[in-house]
Amino acid sequence: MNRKTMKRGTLLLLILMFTIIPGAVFNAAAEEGALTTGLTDTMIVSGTITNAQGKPIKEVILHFTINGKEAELAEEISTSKAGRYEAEIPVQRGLLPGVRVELTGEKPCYKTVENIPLSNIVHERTNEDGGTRFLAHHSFSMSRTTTPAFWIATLILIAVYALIAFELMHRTLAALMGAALILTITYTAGTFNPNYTILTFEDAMHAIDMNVIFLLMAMMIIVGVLKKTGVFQWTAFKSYQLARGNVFALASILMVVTGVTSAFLDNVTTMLLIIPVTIEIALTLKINPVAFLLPEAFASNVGGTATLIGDPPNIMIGSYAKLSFIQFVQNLTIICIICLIFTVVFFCIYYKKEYLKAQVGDVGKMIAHLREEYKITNAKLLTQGCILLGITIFLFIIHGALHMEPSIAAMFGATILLVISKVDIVEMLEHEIEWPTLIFFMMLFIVVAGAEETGLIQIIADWVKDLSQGSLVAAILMILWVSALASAIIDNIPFTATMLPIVAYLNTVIPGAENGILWWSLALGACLGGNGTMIGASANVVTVGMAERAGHPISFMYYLKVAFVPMIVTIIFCSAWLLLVEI
Amino acid sequence: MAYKCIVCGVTGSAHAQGAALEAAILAKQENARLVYVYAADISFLKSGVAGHKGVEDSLVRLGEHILDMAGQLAANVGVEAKKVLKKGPVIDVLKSVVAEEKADLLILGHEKRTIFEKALFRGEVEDHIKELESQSGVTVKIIQ
Repeated sequence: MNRKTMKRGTLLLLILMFTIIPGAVFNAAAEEGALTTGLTDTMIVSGTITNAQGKPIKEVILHFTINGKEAELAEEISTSKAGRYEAEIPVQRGLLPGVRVELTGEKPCYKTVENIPLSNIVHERTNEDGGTRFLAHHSFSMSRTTTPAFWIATLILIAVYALIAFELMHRTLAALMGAALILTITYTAGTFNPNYTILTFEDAMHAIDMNVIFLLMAMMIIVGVLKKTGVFQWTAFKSYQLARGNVFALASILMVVTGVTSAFLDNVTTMLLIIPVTIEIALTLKINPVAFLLPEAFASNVGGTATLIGDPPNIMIGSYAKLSFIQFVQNLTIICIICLIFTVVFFCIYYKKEYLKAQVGDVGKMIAHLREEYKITNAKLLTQGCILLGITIFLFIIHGALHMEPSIAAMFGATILLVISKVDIVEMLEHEIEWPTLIFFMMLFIVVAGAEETGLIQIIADWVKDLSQGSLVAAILMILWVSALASAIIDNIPFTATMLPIVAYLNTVIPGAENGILWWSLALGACLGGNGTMIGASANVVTVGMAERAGHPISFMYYLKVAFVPMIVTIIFCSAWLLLVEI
Repeated sequence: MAYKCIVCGVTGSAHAQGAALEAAILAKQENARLVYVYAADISFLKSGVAGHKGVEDSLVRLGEHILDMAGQLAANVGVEAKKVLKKGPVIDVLKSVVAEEKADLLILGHEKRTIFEKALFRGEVEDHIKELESQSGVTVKIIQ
C-alpha cells in the first residue's frame, strides 16, 4: 500500500467519524426524544402466554391498542421461549390509568386472542420530568386451531412412516423429503399466508438433537476402531472354546456375549461381526445356523435395552429427558438381566431338538481351526480401544454429576482413541461413520418437530391422557404395550421420536409420573418390542438377510412364530417390573 | 453334451451344497473346469437399516467360509475348484463370472421362497434364469 492510498484511507475514516457516527447518535437521541418528550407516560405490560395444557407458547406476536387506536411501539413484541412478553407502551400523558388498553395475541396454528382489556393498571413511579410509569400484568392461554399447516405436517409424518414401513424408499431419503417439504412449504406458502407456516428454519435447527447425533457418531468411531482388532470374532471363538463342544452351553454363552456386548455397542454392528463366525460354527456342527442366529438377535435387542447407549431409542430418550447413564442402569439393567436369563432358557428349550442334532466331532481340531482363523489381529490397538472404551464408560457413569452431556464423554473417548491409535481419520470418517443414519436422525427430528409445532403431537398426547383417565398404572401399561406392539411392525426410531414430546407432556399431567417412570415404559416397549418380528429391529433385518445369504432363509411367519411369544413374555416381565418395583 | 467349464453358485444351504457336490461330480465326469461362486449381495438393505460396508465385509467373511466348504466337497470328489467371491447382486455376479470364465453350464441350488420373502429379498435368482440363459447363452441347471 503506498503513502497516497494510506492518506486517502485516513481521510475517509475521519469523514466517517465526524459525519456518520455523530449522525447516528443524533438520530438515536431524536428517536428517544420523540418517545419521551414530556407528553407521554409509560406503561409496562408483561405476562406469560401458555397453551391449553399450561405449556409456554413462544413467538406469539402481540399488538396493543389505546382507546381502540394501535399503539406505537419501538419494536415488535413477541413471546420468548418461556412464553414471556414485556412491552413498553408510550401513552399520552394524563390518560393513564383510566384509558382503555387492549392487547391482541396471534400465532399461526393458534386461535387469535383479540382485544383483551388490561385491568389493574398500577402506578409505579413518577420521574423528575413529570413522566409516570404504570405497570400491568396479564397472562392468558391460547387454544390451537386446525390450520392447513396442521394437515400438511400430519400428512408428511404419515407419509414418512409409510415410506419407511413399506420400504418404498431408503429411510434417510424418506425423512429428508419430509423435512425438505416442511421447510419449503413454510417459506413459500407460509410467507404469504401464516396458516401454512409449519416450522421455521431456526426451529428446525433447534429441533435437531445434536447430543444424539454426536453420541451416535462417536460410538461409531469407537466401534470402528475396535472392529479392526478382530475382538468380536475372537469372542465368538472363545465362546466355543469355553463350551467345549456342549451345544447348549455354546448357545447360552453366545446369547450372553451378544447381549452384554450390545449393551455397550451398537446392536447391528455386534450382530454383523458375530454372525459369520456363528454360521461357520453352526455349519461345522451340522445344525441350522438359524438356531443360533435368532436367539443371538433376540439377546442383542434385550442387551441393548439395558443402558443409555445400547439402542438408539434409549439414546434419544436419555437426551430428550436429560436422564443419566446411571439412571438407565438403575432402572433398566436388572429387568434386562431377567429378560436375558429368560431368553437363554427359552431358546435352549425351543431349539433343544436342533441342538441335540449337532455332530460335535473333534472339538480340539475345531478349536484349533477357529483359533487360527479368529485371532486378535492387533493387540496394541485392542488394548488402546479397551482402555478408551473403559474411560468413556466411566465418563458416562459420572456425566450426570458433571452436568456433562453423554455425547461429550463419547466424543472425548473417540477423539483420544483416534489420536493414540493413529488410525486414518479420513478412512474412519468415510467408512465407519454411517452418515445416512445420522442424517436420518436429523431429518426425522425436523419432521416430528413440524408435527409438534402444528399441534398433532398435542392431540395424540391429549388422547392418550384421556384414554388413561389420569391413571398412572394405565398410562405405564399403555405406553409400554403400544410401544412394544408398534415397534414390532414399524421402525422404533421414528416411533420413539414421535413419542418423546407425548411422554414429556404425560409426565406433567398424570399424577405420580413426575419421577419419569413413563420414560422407562417407552424405553422398554420400544427396544424390546422390536424382537417380535423380523422387521421390528435393525439387528433382526441384518440377521435375517445374512442368514438368507448363507443359504438359510428365515420366513416372516417363522420369525413371528419363534420370537413373538417370548417378546410378549418379556413385556409381561417389564409390566410387572414397572408396576411392582419402579412405581 | 460335453461341458468345458461349469460354474456353480453356492451358499451355505443344503440345496446349494448339494448343487456344489453335483457340479463337482459332473466336472470330474466331463473333465471340465469347475468354478464356485459366492455373491456378497447386500440388496436386502434397501431400507438403510445398517451401513453397507459393514454388512458387505461380513458377507465376504461368510462367503470365504462357504467357498471353502464347497472346495472341500470338490476335493473329496477329486476335483480342484476355482473359488470366486464377488460383491454385488447375485444375478449380476453370476452373469459376469459366466462371461469371464466362458462357462457353458451354470448349476444352482434351488430354495423356494414365500411371497413375503421374495418381496423382502429382491433380486430373486430363479426369476432371472431365463434372462440369464438368453443373455449369456449358458445352460442353467437347477438342483432341487
